[in-house]
Amino acid sequence: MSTLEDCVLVVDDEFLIAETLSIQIRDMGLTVCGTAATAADAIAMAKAQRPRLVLMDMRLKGAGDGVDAALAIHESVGSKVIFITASREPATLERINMDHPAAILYKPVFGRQLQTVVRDVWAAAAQDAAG
Amino acid sequence: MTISDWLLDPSGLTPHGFCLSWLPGLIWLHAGSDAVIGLSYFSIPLTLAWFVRRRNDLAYRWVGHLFVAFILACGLTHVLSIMTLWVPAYGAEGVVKAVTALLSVATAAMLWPVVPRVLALPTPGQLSRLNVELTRTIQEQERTAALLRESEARVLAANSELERRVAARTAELSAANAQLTEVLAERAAALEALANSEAEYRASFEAAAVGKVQVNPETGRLLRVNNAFARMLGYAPADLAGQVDWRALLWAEDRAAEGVEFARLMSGEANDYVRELRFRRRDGSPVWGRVSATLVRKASARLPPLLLAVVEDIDTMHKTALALKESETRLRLAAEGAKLGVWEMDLARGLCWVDRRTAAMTGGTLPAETWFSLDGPEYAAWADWIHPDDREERAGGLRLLQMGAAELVQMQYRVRRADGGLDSPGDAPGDAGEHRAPWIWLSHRSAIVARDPVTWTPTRATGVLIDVTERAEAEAALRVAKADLEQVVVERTAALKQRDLLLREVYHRVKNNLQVIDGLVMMQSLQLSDPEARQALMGLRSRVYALGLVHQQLMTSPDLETFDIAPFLEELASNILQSGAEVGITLDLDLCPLIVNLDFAIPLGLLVTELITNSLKHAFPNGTGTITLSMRRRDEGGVLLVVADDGDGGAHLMESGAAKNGAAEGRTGGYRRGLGGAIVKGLVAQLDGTIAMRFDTGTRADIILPTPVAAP
Repeated sequence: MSTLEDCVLVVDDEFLIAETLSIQIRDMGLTVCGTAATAADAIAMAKAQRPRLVLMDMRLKGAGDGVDAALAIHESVGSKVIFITASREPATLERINMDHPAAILYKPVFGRQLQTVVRDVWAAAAQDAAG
Repeated sequence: MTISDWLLDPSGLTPHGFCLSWLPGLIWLHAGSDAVIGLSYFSIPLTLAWFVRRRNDLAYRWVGHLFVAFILACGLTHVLSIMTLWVPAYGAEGVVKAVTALLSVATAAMLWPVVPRVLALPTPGQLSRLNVELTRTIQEQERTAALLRESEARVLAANSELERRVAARTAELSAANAQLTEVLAERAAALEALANSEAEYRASFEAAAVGKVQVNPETGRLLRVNNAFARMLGYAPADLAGQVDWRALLWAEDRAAEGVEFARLMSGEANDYVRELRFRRRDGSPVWGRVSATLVRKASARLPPLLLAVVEDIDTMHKTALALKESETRLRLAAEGAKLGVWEMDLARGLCWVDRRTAAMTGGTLPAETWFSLDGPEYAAWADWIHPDDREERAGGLRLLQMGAAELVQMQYRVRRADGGLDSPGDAPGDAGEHRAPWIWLSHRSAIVARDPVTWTPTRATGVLIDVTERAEAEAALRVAKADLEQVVVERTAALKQRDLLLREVYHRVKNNLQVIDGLVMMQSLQLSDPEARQALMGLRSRVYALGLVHQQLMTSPDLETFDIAPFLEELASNILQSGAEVGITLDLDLCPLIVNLDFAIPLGLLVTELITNSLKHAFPNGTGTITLSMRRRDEGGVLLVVADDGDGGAHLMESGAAKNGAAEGRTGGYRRGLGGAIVKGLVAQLDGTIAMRFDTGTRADIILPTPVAAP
């Protein structure tokens, strides 16, 4: 697998949520390489930017959901994906697990939850890249 | 001259025609008349001869024959008269006339003496009168004969009856004689045995299984009793013999009636005495016994008579009979109460018996309380009452029973309603409502009650019949209602699914919105430089988070309305601690499961958020310590929630402000002012609870809440 960039792609169709997540990522000293609101945009940006990590919302605007986008990105780019979903329904979780996500966060994501999870996943990803 | 010449032409005479001058008129007159007379004279004797031949019973037949001969001869004279008209055969004519004359004379002569004799012959009239008289005589004779025969038969019958009676009487007499002989022999033998073996008798008296008693009939005193009798009454023989009066052993109520019978025996009016009566046991309880007593008068008149009694213990038998009677009564009451019809079947003889109720159910087709044949017309008519579709099931069940293949069969079938209804099931018209079904449902249970001991084929079966129409109709109605209900359930389920979908959507949106609000607050706080203001916004975010977490829990609950608050509180507390800056603070959780709904969870979540946030904010100046969160059900009802910390109770905050008022009074855990305190008070009130704050060792809030309605 080719090398990945040290940046994070944020995918959420709600501008404010995407923005909040971006702020928190930047607070941690990481780079946000872009935000996408649809599955197609997300795949295209991931292919272009090759981010190490993707924060993926489940419900997206337009055709396809977060799992579709995550599967495609996983296949073509190999980024780690953290799902952020407002739904805890078994059907949704089953679908998310198809992609073997690095982590799942449930909205509302609060306080240090995001930082903790992102830090752990980032470390694992960096170790993979080094290995 | 030859004889023929003499006869035909004796003297060369001229024919007679010559005398008539050959006048044709005269010639033919003579010839015709003679011809007619001659033919007539031939005809008359022919008929006469025929008559005489046929009537062979005629008297004087020879007179007839004479008439025949002389008339024939006359006829011949006339033929010769014709002949002499042309041929002078006067000789022949004369001969013929002579013959005729002879015959005539003879006839004439003979007729005279005959006439009186013929006159003496009876006429047909006389004969028929005679005949009638004769017939009558014969009939009379026959009647007499018949009477004679009849009386003869009667005599015979009487005779044989007499003989039969004599024979029967003889047989009876000889039987009686034989019996008498036998009895006499027995008596003799018995007397002999009695006389010869008094010891043996005593042994049999003592050892008998039935009670035996000897009583002095004059005093009523018991002379001897055996073991069986004493045991029956709960005594030892020695307690009774010579000690007790016979009557004293009887049950008081039976004593009086018994006395009368006993008197009859004593007076010789009755020879034996057999009664079932109660004795009184030693323990005072009654026992039924059958007493057979005889009065023995001793041959030697000096000895007093003796009363011998055999007493059988029939207590069990009697009580069994009573119990049986009682159980029969109970059974009958049950049958009446349950409106059961009863059947009896004598399978061995092919007979059937039904009670009145069954007969009524069969519309009177079967006769009540009498035995009738299973092959008879009543039973066949009854079979016609059964619904065609159910006949096979019923017949099959009865066959099983009759063959003995099943001990008990249960059948349910329809029969025509006794009080009318319609002729066939197909006739049911469309006018429901008032319409009664033409069939009633019968439940029929039959069981074998007796079998042939050798072949083991069933000989007797009994059965009960219940009209279960109401039940069957109710079941049908129930089935319809159930189907309706199922339809309603299906519809409701669909509606619920729709509602669930909507609810999930709403919760989803609420959470998303809360996330958006959180983002807005966060972005706002980034714009602020005042740490107090940032702190305030941080508190706002905690509260928003509590709201979001409630909705998250709701979405995972199966009914979308209730969930267990324990894991919720755990997650809430952990997240508040994680979002704080301090890392040295631990959480001690002890939460019981408690099912709650949205209305309980939101204020409680906010309450816990406020309390924990407050502790984090005020209790730990050193950044280390423990926050305890516990919840349990109180024995006296309600739920106790405790939020406590082991911090300094906010003492470090009040050093400047309230120091002079004394530590105990001033320590308020930071609740005296600010939004937090107001929220806590308001939320506790909303939950209909009470709160008690203590600040002696750290800050401790004891909140008592009524058990939520959703909690089971």
